Amino acid sequence: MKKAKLFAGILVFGSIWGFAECIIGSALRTLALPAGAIMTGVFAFGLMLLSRLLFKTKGMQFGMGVVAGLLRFFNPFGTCHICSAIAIMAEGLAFELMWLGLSTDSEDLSSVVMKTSMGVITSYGVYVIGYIVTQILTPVFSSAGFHLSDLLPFLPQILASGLLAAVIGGVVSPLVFLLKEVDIQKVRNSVYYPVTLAVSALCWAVVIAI
Amino acid sequence: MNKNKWIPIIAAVVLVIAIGASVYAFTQQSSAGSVSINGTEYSARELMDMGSQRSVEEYSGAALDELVTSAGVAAPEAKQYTIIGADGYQKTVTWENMQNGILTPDLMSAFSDLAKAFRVKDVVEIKAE
Repeated sequence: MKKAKLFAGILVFGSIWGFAECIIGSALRTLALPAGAIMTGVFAFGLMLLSRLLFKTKGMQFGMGVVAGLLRFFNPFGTCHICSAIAIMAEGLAFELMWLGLSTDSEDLSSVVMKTSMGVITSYGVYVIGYIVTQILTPVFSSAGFHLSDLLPFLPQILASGLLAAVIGGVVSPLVFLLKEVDIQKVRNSVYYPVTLAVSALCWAVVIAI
Repeated sequence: MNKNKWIPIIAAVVLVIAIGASVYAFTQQSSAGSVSINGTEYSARELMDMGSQRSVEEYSGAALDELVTSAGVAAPEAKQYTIIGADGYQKTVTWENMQNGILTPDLMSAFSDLAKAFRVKDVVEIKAE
């Protein structure tokens, strides 16, 4: 795959993820819905899986996490932007590590059971790792400091709250696989670059302007 | 063992862990409604009368530093404070943080100098150590 096409893909998928974290995540929290699990299961995992299937390139998902984290960092609303940004990047890294041993052409995941299973494992892992990273980094960057004694008693709650993310990931995964036949290579450059750049620019503009 | 066997097994283990943790977390929840400070239980109403009112963003409530001094914590500036919620969520803060913090009437902590992660809901205990 041409590097420019890959970087444009990283930019657009990462921007959509960051946009979702900032705008849709905030809306879900306002509605008192379990925003973390929904955001991880649907957007973080769903977008990372889709990009892995379409671009068949390892390392891309970490790049998406970096772009989404940067967008989260520049969001003028919310607190501790650096912590949220790093947590999102950690989610991208967690995905990469969990998918390290799988082939990029997804031939390992041919059955619905395998697709659902990887959805459950990945979504849960990404959620729990992101949650723990946030719980460590937020105090580290504050005047209160990090205390391991604060994290350990809450671990059962973190592991429990990941159940919804796991279930969502198990449902989302087979659905995303339905889109794997789209061949990015066949999309004409005259369409691909303007669309990816326009969508990315729109995501950044909305997040920074609102 | 090939991937077709161990990946579904790992997924099943993940679900068992999550369900087990949910059951454990549910059984460990304590009931909210009163707060233990320095070993003494106080109702929400008592707490609101123990400290002057202070605002943090859209919330207002009793000043946390005044709550602990009213509760008889000796040398409060030399201690750290662990605020514990009914669900086990807890955050440890400094005396300076307490001087910028409140406990709302529905027993949530909030600090003007700390992130939202330090908002402990349904506070059941404030430990001075």
